[in-house]
Amino acid sequence: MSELTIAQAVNHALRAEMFRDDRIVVLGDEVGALGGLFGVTEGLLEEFGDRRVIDTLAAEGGLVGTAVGLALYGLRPVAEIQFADFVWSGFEQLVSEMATLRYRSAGQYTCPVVLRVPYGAGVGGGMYQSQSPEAHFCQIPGITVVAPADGTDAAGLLRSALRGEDPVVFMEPKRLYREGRASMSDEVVPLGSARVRREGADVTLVTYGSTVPVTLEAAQLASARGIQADVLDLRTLVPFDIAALLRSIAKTGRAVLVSEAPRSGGYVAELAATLAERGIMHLEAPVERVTGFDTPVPYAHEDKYLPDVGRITAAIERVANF
Amino acid sequence: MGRQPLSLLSADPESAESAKVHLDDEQLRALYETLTLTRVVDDTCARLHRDGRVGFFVPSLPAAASSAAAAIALDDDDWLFPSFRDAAAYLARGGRIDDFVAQLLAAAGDPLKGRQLPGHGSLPAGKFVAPSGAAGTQIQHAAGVALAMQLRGEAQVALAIFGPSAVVQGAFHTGLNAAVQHQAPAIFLCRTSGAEAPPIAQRGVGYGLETELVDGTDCLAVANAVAVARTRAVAGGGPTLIEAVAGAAELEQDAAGRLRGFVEHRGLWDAEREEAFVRRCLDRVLDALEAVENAGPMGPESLLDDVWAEQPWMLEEQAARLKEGDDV
Repeated sequence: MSELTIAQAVNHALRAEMFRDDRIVVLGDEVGALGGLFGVTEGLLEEFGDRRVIDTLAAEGGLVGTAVGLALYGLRPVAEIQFADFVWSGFEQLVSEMATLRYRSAGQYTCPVVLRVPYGAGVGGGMYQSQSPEAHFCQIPGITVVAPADGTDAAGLLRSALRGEDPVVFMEPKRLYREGRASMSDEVVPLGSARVRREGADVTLVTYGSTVPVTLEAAQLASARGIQADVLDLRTLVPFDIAALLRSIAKTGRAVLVSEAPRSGGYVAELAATLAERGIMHLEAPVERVTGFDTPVPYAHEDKYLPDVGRITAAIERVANF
Repeated sequence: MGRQPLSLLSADPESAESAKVHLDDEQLRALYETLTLTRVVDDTCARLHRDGRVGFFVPSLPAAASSAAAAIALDDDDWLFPSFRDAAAYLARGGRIDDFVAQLLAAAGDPLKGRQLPGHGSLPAGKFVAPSGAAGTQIQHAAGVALAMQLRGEAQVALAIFGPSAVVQGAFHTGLNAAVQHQAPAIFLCRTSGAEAPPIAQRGVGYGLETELVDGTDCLAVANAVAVARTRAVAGGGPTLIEAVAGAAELEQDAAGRLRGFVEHRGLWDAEREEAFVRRCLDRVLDALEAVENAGPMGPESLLDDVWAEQPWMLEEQAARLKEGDDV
C-alpha cells in the first residue's frame, strides 16, 4: 500500500471518526465542495452531506464562535482556519469563550472544538500565510495544543482530539502536507506524549511539527561528526511530556531547542525554563535555541528565516563542545 | 425607517386585549412574578453593593421587562444566551435565588465556584449559558446553537440578548451573517436606548433578516415579538432581529406597573396576591442571604479545577503548591 501524506492521513482519520461518531461536523471556508484549500477535507461533503460538512463565510470570529455554539449543543465541530495567520480575528472567541467555558461554568458546559490550523513558513506564502503562532495558543489555559510532524501522528493525535472533551488547537505543518510516511491505521496517539525520534547520549534536540524533519537531518549530520543526538518530537505542546524531556536531559546534559516561530517569548523558552528549573543538576552546557527571527516572516529568503541544517548543526556542536 | 416601537400595554388594559397576546395566563402570571422577584433581588443587591459586601453589581431592573418577557416567550428547550443584565431571564428560566445569591457573593454554595463576576449566572437546566465579559460574543454562539438545531432537525430556537455596544462588535456582523446564510432558527434581541443612529432594527434589513421594533418596557410587545419570531424560525423562516427600545427611565420603572394593570384586568392578580407575593420574595431572598452567610465564603480548593477535563501535570503541581501555601 502506498504511503499517506499528512494531508491524506488527516483526511483518512477525519473520515473514519465521522463514521464512528455522528456528532462530528466539519466546517470552514471552502471545506465543502473544494475540499479545503490544501485538500484535507476532500470527499467529505460527498460522503457525509451538507449537514456534516459545512461551508462557512471567511470570517474566523464567526467560524470559531459558530464552532463554540455547535459544541455547546453537543456536536463535535472540527473547524478549519485556512492559515494560522487568519486566526487572529477569531482570537476573542478562542481566548474568551472556547477556552473558558468549562472553567467559567464550573464544568456545567464543555467546549470540545477541534480547530485545525495549518501553520508555518516555507511555502512562499509571505507574512500572512506563514506564521507559527503556537506561543499565543500555549498561553491560554484550557486549550490543548498539538503539532504533529508526520501522517501517523497527525491521524493518531486527531483521533485523540476528537474523542476528548476539551478544545484542541491542532497545528498542521503545512509545508509537510505532501510528505509521505503514514500507512492506513487506526492508531490512537495519546495527547501529551512525546515521541523519541532518534536515540543518542550526547545532546538532546527538542522540536515539534514542521521542524522535526530538518532537526532529524541535522542529527544525522552531527552523528557523522561523532555527536549522537536524542531527538524528542513533542507532538503535544500543552500539556507537554515533561517526563520525556527530563529523562532525555538526564541522559545527555545538553539541549538544543528548535522551532521556526520568532525567538523572543517563543514556546521553546518554556522548555528552556523547565530545563533550568528541573534539569539544572544535569546541565553541562547552556541551553540553546534555534528559531525563526524576531521579524514577520519574509516573502523572499524564507530559507534564511527558517532554522536549517546548518544553524541546527552549529548549535549542536557548540553545545556538545562547551 | 420612521417606525415607532410597537407597544401593546397602555393605561387602558382593553387595548392590549384587542391585540393577540401570545402568552397564556400561566405565562402572564409567571412574567409578572418574575418582574416582582427581580425587583426585590435587585434592591437587595444594590443594598449589599452600597454596604460594600458586593464589589461588582450591574442593576438588572432596567432590562428586566424585555429579559423576562423573552425568557418566558421561549420554549423550555430553546437556548438563551444572556447579557450580563439578564437576572430576570435567569430567574424566569428556573434559576434559584439561593444559587443567585451564592454566586453574587462567591459563597461556598456558588454553583460556579467563585469563578464568575456577580450576576453572571449559568443554568444548564434552563439552557441559559453563563455570559462572558466580552461584548457580543454570545450573538455568534446563538447562531451556532441555532445551526446545530437545524442540522439535527430539532424544532427549537436560540436567542441572544445584547445591548447596543455589542452591535459595533464583529460578532454582530458575523453572527447575523451566519444565521442568515444558514437560515438558522436564531433570534437576536437588542436592547437599545432608541437614540442609536441609524436605528439597530434598520441595520437588520441590510443583513436580510426579519426585523421587529418594539417598546422594550412593554412585556407583552417583547413577548409577542419573540413568540412570532420563534414560530417563523421553527417553520424554517430564518432568524429575526428584534430591537427593544428601553427608552426613558420612568417607562422602565413603570414596566411592571403596566403589566400589573393587564394581569389584574385578566383576573390573574390582585392587591392581596401582590402583598403576599412580595413578602414571599423578600423572605426567600433574606433566607438565601442567611444561608450564604452560614455557609461562608467559597474555599480555594477548587480554584484550579475545571480548566481541562482532567488536570494536566502543570496544574497538579500548582495545586499541590497552593495547598502547601495554605498550610503555612
